Amino acid sequence: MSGHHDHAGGAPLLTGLRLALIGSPNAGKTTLFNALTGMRGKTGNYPGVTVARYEGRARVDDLDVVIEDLPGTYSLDPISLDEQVVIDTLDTATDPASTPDGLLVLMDATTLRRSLGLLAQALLSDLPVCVVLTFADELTARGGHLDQGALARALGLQVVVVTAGDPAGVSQLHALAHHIGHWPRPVLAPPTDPAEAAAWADSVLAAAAYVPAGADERTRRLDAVLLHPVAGGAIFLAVMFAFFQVIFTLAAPLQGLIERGFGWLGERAANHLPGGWLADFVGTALVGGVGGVVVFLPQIALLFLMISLLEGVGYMSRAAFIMDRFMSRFGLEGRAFVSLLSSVACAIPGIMATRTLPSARDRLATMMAAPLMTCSARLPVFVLLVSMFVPASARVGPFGAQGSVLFGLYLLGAVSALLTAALFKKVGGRTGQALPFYMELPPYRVPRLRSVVFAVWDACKSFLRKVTHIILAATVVLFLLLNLPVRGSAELRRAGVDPGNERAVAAYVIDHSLAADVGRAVSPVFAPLGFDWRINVGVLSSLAAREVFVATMGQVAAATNPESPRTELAQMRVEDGPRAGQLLFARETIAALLIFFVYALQCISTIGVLRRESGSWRWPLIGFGYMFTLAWVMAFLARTVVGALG
Amino acid sequence: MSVLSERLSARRVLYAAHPGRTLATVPVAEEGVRIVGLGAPIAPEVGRRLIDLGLVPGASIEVLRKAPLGGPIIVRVANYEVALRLGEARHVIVDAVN
Repeated sequence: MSGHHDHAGGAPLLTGLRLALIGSPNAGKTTLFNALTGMRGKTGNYPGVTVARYEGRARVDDLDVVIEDLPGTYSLDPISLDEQVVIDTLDTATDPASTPDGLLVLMDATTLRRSLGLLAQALLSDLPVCVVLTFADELTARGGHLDQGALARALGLQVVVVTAGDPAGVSQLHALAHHIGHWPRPVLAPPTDPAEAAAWADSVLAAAAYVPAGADERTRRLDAVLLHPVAGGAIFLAVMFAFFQVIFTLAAPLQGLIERGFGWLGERAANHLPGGWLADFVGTALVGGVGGVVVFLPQIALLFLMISLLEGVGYMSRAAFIMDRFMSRFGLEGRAFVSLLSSVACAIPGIMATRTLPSARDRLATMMAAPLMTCSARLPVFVLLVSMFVPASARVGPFGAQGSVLFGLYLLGAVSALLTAALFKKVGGRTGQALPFYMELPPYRVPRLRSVVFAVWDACKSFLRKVTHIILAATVVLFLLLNLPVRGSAELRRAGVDPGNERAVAAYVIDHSLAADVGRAVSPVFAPLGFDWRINVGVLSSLAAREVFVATMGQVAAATNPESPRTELAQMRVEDGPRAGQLLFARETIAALLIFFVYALQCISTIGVLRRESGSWRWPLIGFGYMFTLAWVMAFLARTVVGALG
Repeated sequence: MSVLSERLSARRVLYAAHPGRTLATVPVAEEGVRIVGLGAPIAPEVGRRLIDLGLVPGASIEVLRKAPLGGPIIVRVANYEVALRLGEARHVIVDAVN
């Protein structure tokens, strides 16, 4: 099941009679895909590029039909490597295994003239083609007209009308799959030269008695407000605020429930298994690891629920229009804004949301920037460290100093993310050619429930299936590092530790664990930042999830309450070296640690999602590497500056 | 490169003979504007993409909206609405019909 996209040469995800869906982004492709396959989709990546590949199986009587949903496009003439890779799958010479046996070309009846150009290009592939006409009902409703029989005759092709919610068109398509060898082909291939193609489109439209739809009145009235320079901006901010509130306030209690549920499960496991260590392993590492994955589901589900609703209604392209000027200063486009904003809750749904970006280059730049946005897992770390950094009573003007520092950290993360995106956009270009920006503004429509459900379901499913093993494995490794070698009671007593004292035992186990060896081994790297081996253990453990840093430091310090170890940490002293005897958490060390957490990619789950979304280990490794370097350098600067200021 | 790509990339881009008025300077709601061709400095593959979006010579086009501060514009062309940045709009040469 794992890594279908690892095969060289772009092997297909599924086998059977292959039909590919070709159509522009708003032609109803996803709706048709879901209707044809009954939502039994499979996702992967096209070989070597950050483009998601969707395939689904439709069982037609005794025939296995595989539907491939090609990325929405206005043209089969590629202007980037990513588009080239996708379009090459249409060519038998390049990629025989995944070349479709036939093409279903979607044509939005309300934008028929433009769609004819795409159809003419699809006919160049020499594959059997069937036209699927969508939004014919909307064309009529908006005062347009089209003679479907005449259109089929003028094109020399089969034309199937598909209306969302009406199964007739879908069963007609299923039936057509049986005699793909007998699909009609046009006597003459349509011209591709732009001038001749325009004349051909004119003649087809005239033959089909086509009357274009009038501009959608409802859309015109809504856009007058929603795209108004002042009112539109205010509404956009309100929508984004609500969006953010939903992710934070609705997801948080659900996540709390999941955490409590897994905590309870872990305790049950610990109580029912013999032997402290095995019980601890199952209770903490296994149950905790699975819980650590599942805990992200509420955020992912809510984010994709809102994105697909906004997308389905048609507001997303309006929001992107409003944000485009701002985002273009950082080399990105308006659509990247949603992804970066979502990353303030959690980088994982934020990175998954980059799927809405048509340009793969923008997608990568946004993915590399998203983890720098201050996510909710950093908050407990920041709260602890900031409370040690400035006293609660300190003020900056009329504001509390603690809140101001916290705000500054959020701002630093956001600015760094935007600058990083700009940098990756500049240096990360593999094509050299800057893609033109264009974005269709479809009429406002009522979203299809089925499509919304599918988007949420697909996001959750692919997250669980593709990321679980990475996170689980990493959690187990971390647990082993922190708890091995096993300590017997006899050894604990010899070392002067009371085996009945849980806090003392936990501190002793961590102090003498493999992780502590690692913490000491990496000391030379972190010593310039003022971190000793104990802080290093905390930083290492935070890879499981950043907030784990707090609990680990609590255990290391044998704190009475490991979840809030402020007092104990403030009293810790440096054990050896030139600073021996001084306070470990000196102001400059705390500053360095704060800045380190602003930048470092201390999150295995994010690394796993980067691997899954980019299709290779290259980008997560680059991301981890550059963020670590940035974190170290910036932390060193912070330490130097705070040290100099005293 | 596939046969399909080869044939499509061989398509000619019609450049406007004179550098006339560009789409970027057309005021909102002006009627009767037609596309003449594309401006010469545009890369051929980008030009072909704009053509595939419906920005072909002879097509009528209307600017519906302009975002403030030099942001993107929304045009109605080929019976649909599409947002373009000024950078691309400057490469689209237009003229009034009369």
